Amino acid sequence: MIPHLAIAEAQLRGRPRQSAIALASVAVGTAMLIVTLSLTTGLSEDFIAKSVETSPHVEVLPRRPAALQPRELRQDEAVYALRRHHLPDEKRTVRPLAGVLAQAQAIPGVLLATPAVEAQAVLSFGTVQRPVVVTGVLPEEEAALTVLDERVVRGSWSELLRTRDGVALGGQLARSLGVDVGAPLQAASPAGGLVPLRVVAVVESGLATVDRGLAMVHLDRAQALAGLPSDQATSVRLRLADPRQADRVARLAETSLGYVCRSWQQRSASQAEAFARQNLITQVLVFFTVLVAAFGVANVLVQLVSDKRRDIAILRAAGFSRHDIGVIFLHQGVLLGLLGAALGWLGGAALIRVVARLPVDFGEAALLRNEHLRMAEYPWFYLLALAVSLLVCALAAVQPARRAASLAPTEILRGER
Amino acid sequence: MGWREPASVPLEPGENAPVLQATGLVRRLGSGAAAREVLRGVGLTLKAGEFAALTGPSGSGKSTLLYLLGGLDRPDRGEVRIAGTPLSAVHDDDLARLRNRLVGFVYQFHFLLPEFSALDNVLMPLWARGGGRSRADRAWGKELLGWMGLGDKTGKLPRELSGGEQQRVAVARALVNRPQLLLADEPTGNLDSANARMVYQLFRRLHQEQGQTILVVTHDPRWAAASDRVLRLLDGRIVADERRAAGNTAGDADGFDQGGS
Repeated sequence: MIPHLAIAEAQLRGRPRQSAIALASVAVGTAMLIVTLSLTTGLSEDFIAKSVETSPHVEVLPRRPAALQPRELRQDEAVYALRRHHLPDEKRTVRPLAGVLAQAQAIPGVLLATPAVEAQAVLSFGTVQRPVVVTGVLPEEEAALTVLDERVVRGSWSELLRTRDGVALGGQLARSLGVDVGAPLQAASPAGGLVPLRVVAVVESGLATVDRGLAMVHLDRAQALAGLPSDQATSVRLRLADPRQADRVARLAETSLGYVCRSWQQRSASQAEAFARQNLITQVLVFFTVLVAAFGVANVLVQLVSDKRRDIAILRAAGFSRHDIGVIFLHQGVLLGLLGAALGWLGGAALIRVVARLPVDFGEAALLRNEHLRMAEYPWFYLLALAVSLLVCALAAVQPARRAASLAPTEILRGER
Repeated sequence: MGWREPASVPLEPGENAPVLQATGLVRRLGSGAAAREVLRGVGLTLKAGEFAALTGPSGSGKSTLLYLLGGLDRPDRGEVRIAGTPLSAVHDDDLARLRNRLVGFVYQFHFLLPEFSALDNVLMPLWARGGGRSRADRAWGKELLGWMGLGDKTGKLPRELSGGEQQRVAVARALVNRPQLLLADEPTGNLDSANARMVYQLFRRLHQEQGQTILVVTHDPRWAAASDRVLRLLDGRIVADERRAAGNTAGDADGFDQGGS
């Protein structure tokens, strides 16, 4: 076996400062890649976790699924024109409530089916008015459906259970109305309903859509606002044994109930997509950091090749082939990549832990709010970072290695006189 | 001494078989208007066991010729045969192997790898063919260094050795593959007189005890005077080829052979 690696290593050792700088740049690139993966994955997972815990896994919506519409209407472009209007068969509510609930409850995987009524309304406190979507639920079942009851920061969920005209408000909404627990509100709907309410709980979930928009009341108050009889709801909400099965259960429920059913994944698809896009952009940017590290490696190797011209000539004269010389310098790139990545692993692991402890404030406008960044950590971050830095360093070594291999020994030996 | 003939010799090394044969060597260096013909048709034959010197003024093409003879460089015209093998027929990488196996090189500047010990430097040509790690190889490297009077310095780095010691390490390296042909480019060029004498005596011993074929490019009149055969190169041509009786000791008062080995 030809000791390419031993020679490569000895030559790097012979240039400790340049090698250290190259190692450091690879290490920083690798660490950045790991931390960014951790950060972006952590944010996505946090978003998903919050979406799952603050909303039903599947919603039964008051619309006919496409499959149940008359077949001939779906044939050509005329469908568009028709769909914009209400089909004769279209329902704007889910009904009869008791029957649908019983049917939904029977679907395998469904733990709980509970009705909800969403009503457009304007909440007013004195002269302050805010348009909201008031959601009417059965508060005791809502507690089993989501974790909203656990996210109450002032007042209590049990107070909502006891108070027929109680309302639970999202934290940001409460602040914008300038109200707190105990404040009296008026809810007025376009349908003409006028319902007096009293704030009994303030909820902070960390998810912007909830904290800005939540106004949760008893089912019958929302029915009054929407002008619906008590056997109709605008949706039925399902809680599942396994939230990851939501898509499958939604399809099942759609056929058995005859209403459009939407899983939490479908509901948050556009936001999840925005996250994915943002993550991709961040990761591409970080990849450039690694690329910069690669330039550092290439630079050191180019320097090394020109410093080591004499040694290369000696090796060639001693019987090493062009190929051997090229392999030695490739090994140097790989060595720098490997050691740099190992250092980057340590740095990345440490940084993840430090960043996770930093207090952060995203501000009121953020989609997600937390006191700390949620950092994810999986082995594949480290493996990916290793693979990327190895690949990039090996590529960076290709050109210097070629140059080293193409040096003519006699010109160097002649030039040394 | 564990000196053995190389195991794989492509040609029967008969008593007077040519180890090295060069015909009509032409070499141009530089390009365009700056191009000049450094060698203009050089032919020479070196038989097994010859101890020859190549002399000539600076710029006469000595080093260029030596690189061609050792397969480090290729001629523009002409042919070099080492142990009967025409180098023009050998691919670059194979040439590296052939050079490794048949030719030992010593340079004016000792040219050791600074990161490796004396012993590792000596073993370097064995590494090039995938060896140099076995106990036998290391013992052989140490034996060579011992022979060079460096038995106690095998683990030293080049910077811990004197110039003369470094040059002797380089000689040991040139011998580690038991080459048929030993080529040296001014091996005493930057050594003081005492070290120069020591290197000469090493070469002489190699020649006398092992029958090593040796060709040395030298500026040193003492070395030339002490050689069995002296080739003189001028303006890219060989202009003189003198032979002396083997074992010639007719050097001047400062000659290398005085009180020699």
